[in-house]
Amino acid sequence: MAEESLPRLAPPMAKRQMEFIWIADCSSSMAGEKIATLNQAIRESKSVLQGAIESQTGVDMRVRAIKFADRAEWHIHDPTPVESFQWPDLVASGETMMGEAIELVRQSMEQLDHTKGYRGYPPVLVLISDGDPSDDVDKPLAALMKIGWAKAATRMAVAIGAGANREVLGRFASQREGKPLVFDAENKKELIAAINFVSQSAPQMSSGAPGPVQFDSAAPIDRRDGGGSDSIVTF
Amino acid sequence: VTPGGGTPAAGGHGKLHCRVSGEPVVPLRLLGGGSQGEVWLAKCEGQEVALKWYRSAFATALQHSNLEKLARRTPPSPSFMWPRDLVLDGHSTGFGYVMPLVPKEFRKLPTLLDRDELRYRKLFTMGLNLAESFSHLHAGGLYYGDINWGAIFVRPEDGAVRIVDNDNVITDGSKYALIGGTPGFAAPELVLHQHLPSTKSDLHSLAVLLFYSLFKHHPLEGRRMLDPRLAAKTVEVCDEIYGKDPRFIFDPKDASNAAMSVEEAGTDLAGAPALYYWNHFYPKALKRLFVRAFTDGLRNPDARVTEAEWQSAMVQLRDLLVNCSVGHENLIDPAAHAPGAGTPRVCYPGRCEAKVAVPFLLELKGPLGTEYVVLNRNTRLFRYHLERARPLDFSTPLAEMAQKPGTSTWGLRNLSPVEWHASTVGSAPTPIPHGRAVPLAAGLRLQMGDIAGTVT
Repeated sequence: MAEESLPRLAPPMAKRQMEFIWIADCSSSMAGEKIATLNQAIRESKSVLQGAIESQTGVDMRVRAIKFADRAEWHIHDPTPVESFQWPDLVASGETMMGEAIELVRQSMEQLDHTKGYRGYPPVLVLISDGDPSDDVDKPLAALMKIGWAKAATRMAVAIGAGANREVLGRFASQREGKPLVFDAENKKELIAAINFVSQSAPQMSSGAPGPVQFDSAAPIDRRDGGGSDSIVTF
Repeated sequence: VTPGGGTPAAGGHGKLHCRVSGEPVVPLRLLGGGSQGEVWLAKCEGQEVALKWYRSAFATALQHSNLEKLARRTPPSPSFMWPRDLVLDGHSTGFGYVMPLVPKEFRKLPTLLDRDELRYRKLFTMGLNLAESFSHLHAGGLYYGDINWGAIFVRPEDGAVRIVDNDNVITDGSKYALIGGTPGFAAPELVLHQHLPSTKSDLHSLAVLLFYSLFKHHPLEGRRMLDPRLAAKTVEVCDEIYGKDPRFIFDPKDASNAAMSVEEAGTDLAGAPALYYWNHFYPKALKRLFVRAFTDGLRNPDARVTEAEWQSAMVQLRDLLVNCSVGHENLIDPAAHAPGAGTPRVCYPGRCEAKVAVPFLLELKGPLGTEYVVLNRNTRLFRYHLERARPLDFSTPLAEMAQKPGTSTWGLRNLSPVEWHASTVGSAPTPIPHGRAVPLAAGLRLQMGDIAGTVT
C-alpha cells in the first residue's frame, strides 16, 4: 500500500479580532482623585479583560485608547494584545473636546469597514466622562452611527459624578432592554466597580457569550511479538 | 444592570448568612463574574466556598425559588459544583448562593483548548466525563439549559471535569427558562425562540462542545463565513448561522457551508482546523455520529446523539489510541484496519515522521455493537469491555497485557473470575483460567464470559 503523504500540522483554533477602545475624558475637572482612580482602574482592568476572554476561545482582543481634553488624540494608538497592554497615566488639564474624540472613533471604525476581508467581533467602545462637552457632539455622533462597525459595536459609557452629561453619553451608548448602557460612578469605589464591570461584561456582550508525550506505557506491540497462530500456549 | 450594584463589596452592608443553616458567609475576594452576577471566594463554616451574588436585575423570585429547589437535591454527580444553600444579606432583597470551590488544579476548558494542552487520551476522557455528567443530570429529570465551554473546568492531568453555573438548572418540562443559552451552543429551536430549553437542547449543546473540543472549530462555521454580510459577528449574524439557517461544515449532502483550508479561504475562520482533523485524524464511525448530530439533529431534536452514544464513542476513541515510535498519540481507524495494511503509516497529526507500528486489534462483539481495542503494552480491559450492558466502570481491570518472561512474546492475561476460552481456526478451544495469558495472534478467537472477541 502506498504511503500517504505526511499531513500538515493541524492549524490552531481560529480567532476573530475584537477591538476594545477606551475613550477617556482628561479635562481639568478630572484632576485629583478622579484621574488617579481612573488610571488605576484601567491599569488593573487588564486582568479582568484577560479573565473575560479566557472563558471563551476564539477572541483575539486588541486594546486601544483615545484621550480628550483641549484636543482628542490617541493615547494608545496600536491595537495591543491584552497580555502586553500597558497604561500610561493620563494627566488632567483643559477642555472637554468630546466631539473630536468621537470623530477619532469614527475614523477608526471606518478603517475597519475599509479593511478588505476584516472579520471580527463587534468592537467595544467605552466612553468615560465627568462633564459637558466643550465642542459639538451632534454631528460626530450622527456620522459615527453611519459606520457599520460602529453600529455593531457594544458601546458603553461611564458617567463620573453629578456633572457628567448623561444625555450625551446616553446617545453614544448602545441600548439594552430599552436602556442605554450608561453606568454611574459617584465615588472612587463606584468608578473602580464601573471600570471592572465594563471590562468584564462588554467583551461578553460583543462575543455573544454569556502535553507531555508518554513514551513507554502505550507503546504498541510489534506484530512479530505475538505467539504465532499454530498452537496456543498460555503463560 | 448596575456595576457593582448589590454586590457584597459595593452594595450590601448587612452580614451575609446561609438561609437554611443560618451560618455566616464572609466574602473574601472577587473571583470573576458575568452578566448575571459576581462570584466570590468566601468563608462559611470554616470552609472556603464559592459565593455567587446576583446583580439586582437577576435576583428574581423565580431564581430564588429555583435555588431553594436545587439546594434540596443531591448533586447529580460530583462533577457539578451544586448550589448548597441560599445566601441572604439580612436587610435587602438581594441574594446569592454558596457552592463548592472548583479545585485549583482544574482549568477553564477554552484556555486548555486554545493552548492545545489536552492531548488525546485526556481529551477523550474529558468527553466521556462530560457526557456521563449530563447523563446523570438528565436522568434526574433536570436539564442544564446553557451548556457552553465557559462553564466547564478540566483537570489537564486526567480529563476530570467540573461544571459550574448550576443555578440555571431546571426541571425538564418546565414552563419557563432562567437563561436563553449561549450563541453558538444553543440549539436552533432556542435561538429562534420556538422552544424552551430541554434535555434535547442540552444534547445539541453537548454535541457542539464535543465537536469544538475534538475538531478545534465550530461545526457550523464554514464557507459562508467568507460572506461579507457576515463579517461582523453580531447577534443577527449568530441568529442566522446558529438558528435560522444552520448548515454543518461536513454535511455530505450540502457543500454550501463546507470547511475550507487556509489556502483556499485566505482565513482560518472557514473551518481549516476542523478540515485537518476530519481528513487526517478521526475514524469514520465518529464522523458519522457528528453528521447525524449536525444534519438531522439540527432540525429534529429527537434525532440528536444521546449521552450514551457519546460515552461509547469517547471510550472507543480512547481504545483506538496507539503511539508512534517517538511516542505521539495516533488513532487507528478500525474501518481501515486490516492486518499489515490500512493503519497509519506515519505519525499523525503530522507532528513527526516516525512510523506507527501496525498493532494487534481486539474486536469485541456485543449487543450494543462492536467495540475495538488496540492492544498496546499497557492496555487493560474493564467491565465496560467484557459485560453485555457496557457499564462505565473502569475501576477494576478484568484483563491486562503481559509479556512472557524472558521472551518478546506478548499476550492478554485473564484477570476476571471466569475462565476464558481461546481458539484459532481449526483448533479446539483452550481454557484460559484466571491469571493465565494467551499469546496474541491474528485470527485468535476469545470467549471472555458473555463477550466474544477476535484478534486481528
